[in-house]
Amino acid sequence: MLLIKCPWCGERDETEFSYGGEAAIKRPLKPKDLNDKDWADYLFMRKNTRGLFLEQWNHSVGCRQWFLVERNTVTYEIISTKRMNSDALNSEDSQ
Amino acid sequence: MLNENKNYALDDFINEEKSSLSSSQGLGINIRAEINFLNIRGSINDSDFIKHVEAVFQQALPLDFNTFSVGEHHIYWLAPDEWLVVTEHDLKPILQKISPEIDLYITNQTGGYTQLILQGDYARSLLSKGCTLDIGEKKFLIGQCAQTGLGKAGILLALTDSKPSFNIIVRRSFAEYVGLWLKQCGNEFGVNFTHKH
Ligand SMILES: [Zn+2]
Repeated sequence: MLLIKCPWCGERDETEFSYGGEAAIKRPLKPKDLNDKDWADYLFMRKNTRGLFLEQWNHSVGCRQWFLVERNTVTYEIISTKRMNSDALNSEDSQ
Repeated sequence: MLNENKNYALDDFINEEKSSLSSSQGLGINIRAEINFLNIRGSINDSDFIKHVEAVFQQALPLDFNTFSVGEHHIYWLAPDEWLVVTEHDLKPILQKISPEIDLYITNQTGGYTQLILQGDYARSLLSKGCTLDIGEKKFLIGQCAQTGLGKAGILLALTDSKPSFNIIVRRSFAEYVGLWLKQCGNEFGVNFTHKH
């Protein structure tokens, strides 16, 4: 069982959380200008990274806040957790 | 007004328990029936909001995560922008004091929750059978609260004194489940149910 550190509540059992997939996906500013392929890419396509991955998790049984988790998808090691409004999101912009 | 037509899922369960009470061995459960719940949402960056709520309830709003304040009411931190007020007071005069000028959301959730008080020497042992939270004496202190799981139910757990007494706030539809769970798992500790008004 993993202990995940909620940025508000501290370390809690994995069963208190739900997974929200890849983090830092930005909604396109002008959806009307997008073709179907780009729109589908935004809606459905997610990376399946082997190794370090930035994810969003929700503390669904606790404070119900979304937050960021940097996790190694091979070893399950959680490197860090951060609040959504932190700079971690912006550094992902370039990718 | 707000307490009319209450129909507690736990009532039948409690009445049955009462008829088969054994002597208490240091672990008791009180079901609090006549109690009201208010959910409050607002921004902690809005000092007008905080001042107004504290003036209405005459009590500090707990801004530290996973803590609660005690006064005329119990006010629990639920999320960075959300609190739960648990009170025996009539809600009408309280709600009438809320100013429409202030940016806040207040919802009466009295029908949605039930509170149980678990009290006695074995309370920590009983809870740790089904609660993933570390509620050891050095980890979970008086004045702390936490939303977590007990068995398969979500609960708000709060430690109020050193007896120890735990307030367990649970969705009414899950109250019977939690009651049964505490009864079954508390069997070895001689758990004892009472209904407190
Ligand atoms: Zn949390």
